[in-house]
Amino acid sequence: MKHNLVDMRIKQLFHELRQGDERHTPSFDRVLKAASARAGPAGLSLRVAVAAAMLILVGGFVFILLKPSSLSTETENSESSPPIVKLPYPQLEPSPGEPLARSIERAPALEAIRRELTRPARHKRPAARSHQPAMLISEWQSPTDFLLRTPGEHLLKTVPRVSESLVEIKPSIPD
Amino acid sequence: MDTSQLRAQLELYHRESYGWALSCCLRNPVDADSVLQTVYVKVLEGKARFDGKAAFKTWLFSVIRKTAADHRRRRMLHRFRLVGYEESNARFSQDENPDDAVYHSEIQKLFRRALARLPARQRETLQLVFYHDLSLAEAARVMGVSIGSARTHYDRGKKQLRQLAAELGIADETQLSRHENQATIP
Repeated sequence: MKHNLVDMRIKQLFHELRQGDERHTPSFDRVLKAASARAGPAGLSLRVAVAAAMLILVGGFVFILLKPSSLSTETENSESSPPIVKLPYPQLEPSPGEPLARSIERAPALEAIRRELTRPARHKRPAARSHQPAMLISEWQSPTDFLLRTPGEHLLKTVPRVSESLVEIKPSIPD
Repeated sequence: MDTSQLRAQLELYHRESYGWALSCCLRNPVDADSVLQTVYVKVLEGKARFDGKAAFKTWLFSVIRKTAADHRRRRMLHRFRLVGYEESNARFSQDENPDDAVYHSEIQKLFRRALARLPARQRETLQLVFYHDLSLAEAARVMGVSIGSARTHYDRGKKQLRQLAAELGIADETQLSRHENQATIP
């Protein structure tokens, strides 16, 4: 019972508070006018932001459109380009009269390995790819292939012909 | 809902919105005015959209509550301190009109002091129910809590306000009349 009376009193006090607040409420038009004045520059900045975003989007779209076309141009160019250049490979077959050790020394791959081994150690940077002409995989040859070859190997891999093996004997006795 | 309809609805609930904004801004009229302006801009520019799931008043009150919380947070960042409820109340009471005898009564000051001592959630629930005549379900919706939580805040807030009212001597009519007499005696 007592609680109900107190609750009633609380409600009455809230009601009085509300009446007091309503007397001090600024007019709707004034608040709305102030709100519109505040919204003006913000709206402008919003429009500028939207325009900038649109510009960026259009720029990105144009970039995406142009990029594949440039790639396709490159492909077309490559198709019409001359055949792939063959890289010179070391001739490891020892020429007659030249020792094998010398022919090995001349091999550029071996030279590169030697350079690599003798170079002082340092932090390696990711090297930019050299723009060497492409080579067919069927023509590729291992740079260390020469190590498997032995002198006189051709004698084992080829069949001698009879005419080549015959010793030409000149008759000592003249006819 | 188009802009003219929104504007009509805002005008309809303007007084109540101001009262709620005042409550959310620790009864600081300058902040309440600023919050209300921000809310009107949000609503009219479509930043806050009424989806029709709840009553317009409930939705508008939840927007005001969120905006006031943002406003308070921003102010706190700027000033690194919060203006207390009573401090702000004392500061702005200097500008009060001497003709508003009821509003400026001692009872109202005591009552506002009692409200200020309540936790924020309890104060908000009581304000929505007693001041704005919302149901507990609507109050829960405005506050973004479950109806069970709102009921708990309501019960606890009412109990605490009863105690505070008894402490401050504003709980019953006899004490009230004595206060009012004291206030009117020069």
